[in-house]
Amino acid sequence: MQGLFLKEQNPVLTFGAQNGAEAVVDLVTWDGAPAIRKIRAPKMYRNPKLDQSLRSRRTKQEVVILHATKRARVHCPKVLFVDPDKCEIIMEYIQGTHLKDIAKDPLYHKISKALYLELGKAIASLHKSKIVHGDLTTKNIFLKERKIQLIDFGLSFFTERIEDQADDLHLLKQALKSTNSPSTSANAFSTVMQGYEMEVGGENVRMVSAQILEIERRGRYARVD
Amino acid sequence: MICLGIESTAHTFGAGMVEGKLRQHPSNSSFRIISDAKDVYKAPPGTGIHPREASRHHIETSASVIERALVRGKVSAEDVDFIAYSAGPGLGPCLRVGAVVARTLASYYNKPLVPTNHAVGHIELGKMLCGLIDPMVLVVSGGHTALAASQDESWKIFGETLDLTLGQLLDQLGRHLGLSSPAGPEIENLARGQDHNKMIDLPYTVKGNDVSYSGLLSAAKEAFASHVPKEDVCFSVQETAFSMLTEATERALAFTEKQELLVTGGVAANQRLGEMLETMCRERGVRIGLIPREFAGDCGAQIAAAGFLFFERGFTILPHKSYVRQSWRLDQV
Repeated sequence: MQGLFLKEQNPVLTFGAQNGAEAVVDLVTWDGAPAIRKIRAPKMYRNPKLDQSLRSRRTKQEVVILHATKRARVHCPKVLFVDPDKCEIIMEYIQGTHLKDIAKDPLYHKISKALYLELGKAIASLHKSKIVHGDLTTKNIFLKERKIQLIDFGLSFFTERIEDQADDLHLLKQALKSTNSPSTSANAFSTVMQGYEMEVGGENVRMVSAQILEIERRGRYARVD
Repeated sequence: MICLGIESTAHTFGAGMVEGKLRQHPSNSSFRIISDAKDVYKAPPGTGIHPREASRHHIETSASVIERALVRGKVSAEDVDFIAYSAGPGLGPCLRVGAVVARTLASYYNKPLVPTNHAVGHIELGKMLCGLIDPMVLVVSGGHTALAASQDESWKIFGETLDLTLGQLLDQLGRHLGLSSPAGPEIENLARGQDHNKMIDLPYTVKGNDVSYSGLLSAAKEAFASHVPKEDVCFSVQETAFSMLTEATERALAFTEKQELLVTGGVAANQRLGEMLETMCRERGVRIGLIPREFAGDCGAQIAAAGFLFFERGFTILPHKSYVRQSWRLDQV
């Protein structure tokens, strides 16, 4: 972990309400400390019946998953308050640096190996606890006090299926591709898989890797040249 | 300059001409569609597109479609400056018909030949018609369901279907209900005006910016088998599938911070999908361009539009070396 030193920003001062795709997130004060309030606002484009049930279900699910994530010894925000009808969660505010921004840091190449190993281990720990994150884009991965922190479990669910675990990693692979050049993204992802293997072992990693290839082959036009 | 574009990736044989100036920097102002003609192969009800039958259709109609494009545009074949064809992705037998026709024209009239990517065609034509500069692009058709945006001179995929495309979902559902492919328009008609409470529960699967439609298709088939009326099935499938896609699109927009959305491909003609995407974009303050209905589906004009892009970058090819690639991904262009 010695390598994971990087100047961390202090985003408290710059934090405005963020109208994410899934929810409106803003900074509030809870018990005298800064906290994150996440409200899943209604989506006007969606059928109202479908919309209400999706939002309420996802809110409750997210809380359950956050607790399970803590139990899996993966760093994530603490839940402070929940209102399933209003689809509202108040949780601990994690002050750290986005992986998206870390990738732009000039010192990035020095820490990237350790960083991606840790990330792989964290994802493996989740998967071992039957959790898939479901939205492993680089915006949902933070570095705080030299530790990987995962946020936004809004699309997470419990599963033991290799296919779901592979989907999780496949999404990360894509996200890394979109924020890195082709060669660094391939490196980054293979390091993640090394970290993953340390936790789950060779047999599992082979099955998951095979499944990732299968997803790539099935969902998209595979190369046949 | 005039480009004749020839499209034959799947059910449509199309020929279209676009006139424009070659440009140093991408700007779409100086382009205009001169003409667009097509003939669409209709599969027998309850069946999908048979590649051999579709390619036979293309062979039979190719000459008349190209003639119509030239006559409508009041352009003779000699006036065309270069010829673009759709080299992929698509159904092999169909692609080969377009390639042979383009090759023949190019060598007979001695014009440069430009192999183009079909999806880039959808995008370039869409940007041209909607006046967008740097959009997130949602390509929804039988061949694609993908969210793409350009980054560093190439296309990157920010989200896509993990299994079926939206067009495949609608076609396969249609086939199951005894409709003819492409079944999108008929499903849209059946779903129209349905009461919102008729919505049945179907699997809603969004994973990040990706969607998965295979579970939805199976559940919809089962619902139909257990006597849910056809109209309700169509309505619920549309509501669920389009909501998933709109959600994925919103996520991709949030992730990339793009300020424009272009929606193109055959399913872009679906009004309900357009409506949902428009609502979402309005809420986010994103400018949306829905490709005009007549150019949503596969057409020659899209290949001509892409032709300019490829021609500008020097992608011409000698007729005897021309090729087709059935699996030419957008992010490999």
